[in-house]
Amino acid sequence: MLRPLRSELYRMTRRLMPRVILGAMFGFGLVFYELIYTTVSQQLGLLRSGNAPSSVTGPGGTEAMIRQLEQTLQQLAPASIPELGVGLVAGLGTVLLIVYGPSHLGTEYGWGTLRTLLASGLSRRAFLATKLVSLLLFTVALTALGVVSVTAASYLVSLQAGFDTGGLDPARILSASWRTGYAFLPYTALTALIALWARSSGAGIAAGLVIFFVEGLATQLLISLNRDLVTVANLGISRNVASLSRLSVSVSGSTPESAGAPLPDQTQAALVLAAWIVAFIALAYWRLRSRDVTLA
Amino acid sequence: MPADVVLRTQGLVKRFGGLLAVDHLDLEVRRGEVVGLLGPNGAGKSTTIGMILGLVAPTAGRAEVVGLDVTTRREQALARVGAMLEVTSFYPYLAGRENLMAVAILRGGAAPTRVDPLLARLGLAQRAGSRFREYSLGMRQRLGIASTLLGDPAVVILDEPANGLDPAGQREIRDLIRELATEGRGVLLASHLLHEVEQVCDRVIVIQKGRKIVEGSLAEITHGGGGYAITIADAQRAAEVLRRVSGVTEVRLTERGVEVAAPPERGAELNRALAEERLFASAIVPRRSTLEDVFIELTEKGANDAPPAA
Repeated sequence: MLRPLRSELYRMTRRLMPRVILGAMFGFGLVFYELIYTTVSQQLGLLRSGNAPSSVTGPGGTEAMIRQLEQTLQQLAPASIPELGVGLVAGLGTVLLIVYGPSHLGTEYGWGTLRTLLASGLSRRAFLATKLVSLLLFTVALTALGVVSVTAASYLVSLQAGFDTGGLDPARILSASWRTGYAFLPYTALTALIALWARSSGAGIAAGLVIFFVEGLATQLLISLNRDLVTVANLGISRNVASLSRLSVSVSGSTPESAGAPLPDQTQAALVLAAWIVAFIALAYWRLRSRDVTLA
Repeated sequence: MPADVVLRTQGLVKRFGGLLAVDHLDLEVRRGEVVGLLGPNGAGKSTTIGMILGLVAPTAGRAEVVGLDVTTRREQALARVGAMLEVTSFYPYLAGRENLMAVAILRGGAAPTRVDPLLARLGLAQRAGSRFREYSLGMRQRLGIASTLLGDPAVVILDEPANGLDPAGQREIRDLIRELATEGRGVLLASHLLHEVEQVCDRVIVIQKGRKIVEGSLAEITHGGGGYAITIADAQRAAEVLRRVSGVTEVRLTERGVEVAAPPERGAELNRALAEERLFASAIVPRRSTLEDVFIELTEKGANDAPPAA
């Protein structure tokens, strides 16, 4: 297992795509914080000087709008990293992993290198295990880099704005990061399964994006049709990911809602997602094992 | 399995749905021997190689490398095999050297130390730092051959190794294959280049529709390497006489007379046998039978046979 993993990491660290994705994650955090700060600061400036168009002020008047924008700015401070920062990492990270996961597996078919690896004595089980472990390591790196990026961005913006840079809670950031990283895994495993099944990176990416965006909408629709169907909806991926990604449970003790129905508690969410991950991996192994790797 | 047999298949069968791709194929490669695996397109060569390498699951039968079953002891068995497949596949974004290193790390042991010497041996040292995607077809083939030798294999399997090589490159590969056999490795060579097979192989196996249709040394397969085209008036009688001559393996009527498969030194004896029966040939022309002649004859004959039952 160690030799295949070393070989995989040797190749992975020399490939451009993982570096681009890690770079995108790092850059996105910095850019997003700066963008929010600049936009909100400009709006605040206009409102305070009385030069804002009436459409900007909203129904509560200028004062309410100013308070709302000031609260938004406060979210950029280090104390809010577990909510805003890690939330951004979760959103972008899922999409980036839906792109990278299938590519990590599917290109072995596209380039024909699966044959080279297997003909060199690598077993199918070791191949899949190596791919999954390396994807897991990449997920950890992506999450860590994302969190580092939003933390740095938060400090930079706070220094620019003169916010209080205290209140950073490493334990809460770590907890949020760990749950975000865990929530990445079902999508990563699913898209890897699709890429392996279809022997194509493109198929995995396309199907992964569709499932990511459509499943959430479908569960909302299901619940809106009949609230009793929330039990079924809670067996899917999106609501369990949403449950894990939210911090408010640990903060307020109340159960957060989505689509008008309570999200599953975090233990249940973790277990359901674990079941999905295991199912996707088992299916991928079964497909890989039962199929010939033809030479043509 | 005798000690000198490094690769053996026994009753190897592969069905793809209703198609019987490989039909009870037995083959052996011994230490220091180069065995040619020939057959027209779709004959089952690549599927056979796929089964030997554990890429394709056999429907029945088994493949062994140095006595190790490829299905049950795959990792140990394939550690002794170096294989270059028909389509050489490496990572396009890695340099040639990096590609070899990635395979060498996977193989472990002393393989990483062989990377640079192999690049030099295959004439790739100057371009070792270039990306695989920038390699010509010939360079890709050389890299594929280099990768087969990383694990110091007992068996080397080469599927069309001379594809894309210029004549000088083809000669180098032929020399290399002979060197590999001299080093005591068994080589299984699948190739469409019959002159290449003729020059390097000790033994040849011809398969058609998944079945072995002939196996033997080149001399055996080409009927001792030749025959005679005899121009004679009474071809029917001549054929009867010639069939009785020692060393004659086949007699065939032609438009001008008969064609005889016989070793080269039998010319005078054929002439004498005809003269004793008062049959006088107007010409006895030695005719060297090439592997290509035999291959085409065998495979055309095989193609006209009924297809194997699915």
